[in-house]
Amino acid sequence: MGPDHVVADPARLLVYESDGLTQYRQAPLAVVLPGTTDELVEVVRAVHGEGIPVVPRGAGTGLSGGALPVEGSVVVGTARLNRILALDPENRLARVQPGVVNSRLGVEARRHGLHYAPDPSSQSACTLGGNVAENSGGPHCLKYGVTSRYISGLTVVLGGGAVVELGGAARDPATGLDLVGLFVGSEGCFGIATEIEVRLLPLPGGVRTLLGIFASVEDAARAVTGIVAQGLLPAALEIMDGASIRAVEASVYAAGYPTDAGAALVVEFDGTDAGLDEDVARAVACCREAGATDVQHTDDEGQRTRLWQGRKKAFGAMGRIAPDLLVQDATVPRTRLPEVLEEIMAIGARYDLHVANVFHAGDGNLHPKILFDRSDADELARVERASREMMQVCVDAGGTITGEHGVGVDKQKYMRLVHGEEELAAMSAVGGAFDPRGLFNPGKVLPEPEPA
Amino acid sequence: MRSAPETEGVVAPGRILARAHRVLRPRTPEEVAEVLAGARAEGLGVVVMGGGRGLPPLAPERPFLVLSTAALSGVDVYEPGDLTFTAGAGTTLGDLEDRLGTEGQWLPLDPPGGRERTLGGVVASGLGGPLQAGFGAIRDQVLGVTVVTGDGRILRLGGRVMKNVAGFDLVRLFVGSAGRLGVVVSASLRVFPRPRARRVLLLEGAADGLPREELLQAARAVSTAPVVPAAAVLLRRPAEEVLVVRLTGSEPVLDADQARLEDAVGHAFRTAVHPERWMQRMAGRIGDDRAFGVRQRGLPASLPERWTAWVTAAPAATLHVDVLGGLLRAHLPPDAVDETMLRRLRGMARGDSAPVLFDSVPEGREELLERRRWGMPVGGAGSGGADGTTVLERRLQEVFDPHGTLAPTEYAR
Ligand SMILES: Cc1cc2nc3c(=O)[nH]c(=O)nc-3n(C[C@H](O)[C@H](O)[C@H](O)COP(=O)(O)OP(=O)(O)OC[C@H]3O[C@@H](n4cnc5c(N)ncnc54)[C@H](O)[C@@H]3O)c2cc1C
Ligand SMILES: Cc1cc2nc3c(=O)[nH]c(=O)nc-3n(C[C@H](O)[C@H](O)[C@H](O)COP(=O)(O)OP(=O)(O)OC[C@H]3O[C@@H](n4cnc5c(N)ncnc54)[C@H](O)[C@@H]3O)c2cc1C
Repeated sequence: MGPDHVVADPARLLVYESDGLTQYRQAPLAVVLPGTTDELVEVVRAVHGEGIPVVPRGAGTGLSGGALPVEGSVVVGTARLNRILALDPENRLARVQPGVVNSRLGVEARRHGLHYAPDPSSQSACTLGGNVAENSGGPHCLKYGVTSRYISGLTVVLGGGAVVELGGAARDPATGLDLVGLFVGSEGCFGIATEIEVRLLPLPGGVRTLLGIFASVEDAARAVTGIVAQGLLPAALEIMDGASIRAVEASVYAAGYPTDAGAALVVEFDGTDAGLDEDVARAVACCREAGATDVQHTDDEGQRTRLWQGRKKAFGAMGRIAPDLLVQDATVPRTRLPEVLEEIMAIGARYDLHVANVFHAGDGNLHPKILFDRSDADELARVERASREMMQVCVDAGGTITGEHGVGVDKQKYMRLVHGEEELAAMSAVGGAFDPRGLFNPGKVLPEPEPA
Repeated sequence: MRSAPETEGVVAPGRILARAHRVLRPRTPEEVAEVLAGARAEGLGVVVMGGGRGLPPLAPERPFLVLSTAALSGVDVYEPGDLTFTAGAGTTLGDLEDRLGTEGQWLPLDPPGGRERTLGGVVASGLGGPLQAGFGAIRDQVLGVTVVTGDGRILRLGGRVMKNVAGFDLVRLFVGSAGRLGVVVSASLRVFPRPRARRVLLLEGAADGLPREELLQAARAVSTAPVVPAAAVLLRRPAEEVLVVRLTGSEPVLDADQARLEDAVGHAFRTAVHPERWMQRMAGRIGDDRAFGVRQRGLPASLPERWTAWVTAAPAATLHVDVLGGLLRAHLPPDAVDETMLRRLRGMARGDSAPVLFDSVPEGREELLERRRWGMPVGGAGSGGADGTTVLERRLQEVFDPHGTLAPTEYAR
């Protein structure tokens, strides 16, 4: 491997000091960017041979510090492992290298009338390796499910550079344990995925998008409940609250949502075209019944983009209002959404923080966004305390501390809210089965053992 | 790589009970742990049994007791608005179907074998039937499980929310673990709104239908068509070959999907008059003591080639192929299987990637099958990868069942 692909110069290492969660920073010893599986194996063998930990890295868009360098580690980046190795429309499969960007696979699949369903909002940047490691979701996962449903096989590089083939689309579940399912979501702690076999689906025949405007989040949430009770299964059900709407409308991304609204609900149906208008009519009725002040819907691609605009750009727009933005992530049973949201806003108010909510309402996956200024030590402390309380509220409602962004380093401190010591010990032992020497992303995901 | 055939300890599912030292029915996770500890103290292995409808046919060689989940039954929580429920492992799919039906919901699973199958058995076997093509595999519907590990730890894994990435995904590990790591005592799953309508479409081959070549092409066309049906299966009895496609949705959707499929296939389907009967046949036949049952997975595109190979090798076989999922199942009458036939069937295996598994064995014919212990490399076209997988599986077994108390029944190869 040439020197171009080994980064050790402190100035060039800067960009690798953090992932999308920028409040954590740590310089690695070096960054290596292998271009083939053989080079990757060589690198892991050499680095582990010295007893030095390896931190896998995709695009670094993770929001929990998963790709944050561990002190004294070598970061192994997959940026050059970016080839689509095979696209097999006959079996609706693709085999890709881990550095392939999510949306690029989508573009290639479309040529064959197919698509790759999981669509994280970061899809134009994040990699499939990162998606596998985080078991990422996206707005359309309500109907289609998250990443793990679409990963049928993996080639992984384990400690010391051993290469193991896991699963495969033709694998019979009767022949052994589901190691692919276990590897997905392992946050870079088990090994590095160097080839990924994914399932593709045919493109839906038609799409309808609906935007409902409501006076309050509670009303929007009631509309969601109504839609589910009707037995409808939309592809997406997304809510943004008034604070988020105003942030977007004040930004360059203005989407034309009314700034005095309490909430906006985006509903999308896809599938066989003949059934969609009826679905939309029923969803519109649910919105009106829940008190929607305005409902628009469309089957036009351009209009669709416009209706989604506010939802898609909320994150970027908010990033511009305050110096720092913390995107929280938790899941609750959907029926508990209204009360949980109310409590989250109350926590924000109590700590005098600016909180806005954009969330995957269909799956009960919340993303409270907290705007703050890191240089204000007092505010930073309030953000910490408020975050913990928000997590507690979600857990008390029967939910969990992360639905799609992972634990990384950011949520280790909350792991005991949802797991007992036995469960944590079992996870740790399972990690040890893959990585006995603890040289992949050590110190992530699992909290320090309780002091005896 | 193959060891000489051993006949000792070989029994078919119905006969496993007869060999058990006793059958215990714990009612709580704590009692499950007690059964496991007691068995270990006595030097007995433990076979975990749900409805007993899907037990692999080979009993363990060592003495064992059977832990039945029958008393771990009942729906604990059902939240129709959340599209989730939690129920005991021994709850039958029949009871679940009735309960969910009252709210217009269902579990889109159709493993073979009737309403007596248990939730725990389906979760633990990881096998859910052809409907998985349209609605996702069982592993994608399980949100959480409570398990008792082989060494008696009670673990609550996952939860009751749709998305959960709080730590490593041990739920996935237990789905399909088939009594090798622990006992599933309860499980939380997501459910679906029951489709407004359904339709079963038929395309016949054989005597009064399409030539085989065309029927196989039609089956392939279904699996590459722009519509994904709820399920599609190609069935064969010696005098009958038929492609069966199940659609779900509202009436206009069914009409449109049928038209698009017919377009892709190039033939008109016949609508089944008795859809229930066909849906049962789509689920397939459960293993019994009267036939040799064999399963082999493969990629969907290999269907025509595999179908032809199986028809040629075993003309007396009934065949059942999940057109979208790729699982082929064959049943042969006992008198059609002798040493030569057995060699031929085994010869259908493609190394590690497509082994042939015997999942049922007729009474008195066990001697024909050699024993293959789970966890051993399969041999054949084995890659280094398979060995690596074996090492990982062994380590995981040590994590959850360090004393080797669990003694899963096994498929024969
Ligand atoms: C604006 C924005 C929107 C987002 N929207 C969503 C969303 O809708 N849904 C969602 O789920 N997430 C979302 N995310 C989070 C993030 O994009 C995902 O977690 C994504 O999957 C990370 O991919 P990455 O390539 O950037 O991985 P990285 O951040 O580089 O790494 C993530 C983790 O994966 C590990 N890793 C990377 N590659 C490999 C590999 N080949 N083998 C093993 N481990 C590996 C790393 O060690 C790390 O632990 C969003 C992030 C941003 C910034
Ligand atoms: C011959 C045959 C062929 C089959 N082919 C198919 C097929 O092609 N497709 C398909 O989808 N299904 C198939 N099945 C599987 C069968 O339909 C399912 O396994 C069945 O639903 C299991 O339900 P059960 O309650 O009868 O489980 P059982 O038969 O009692 O057990 C099934 C397996 O799970 C284990 N088990 C059961 N309960 C638990 C528990 N609570 N905790 C831990 N382990 C447990 C058992 O040890 C056993 O390994 C087949 C079964 C047989 C006998």
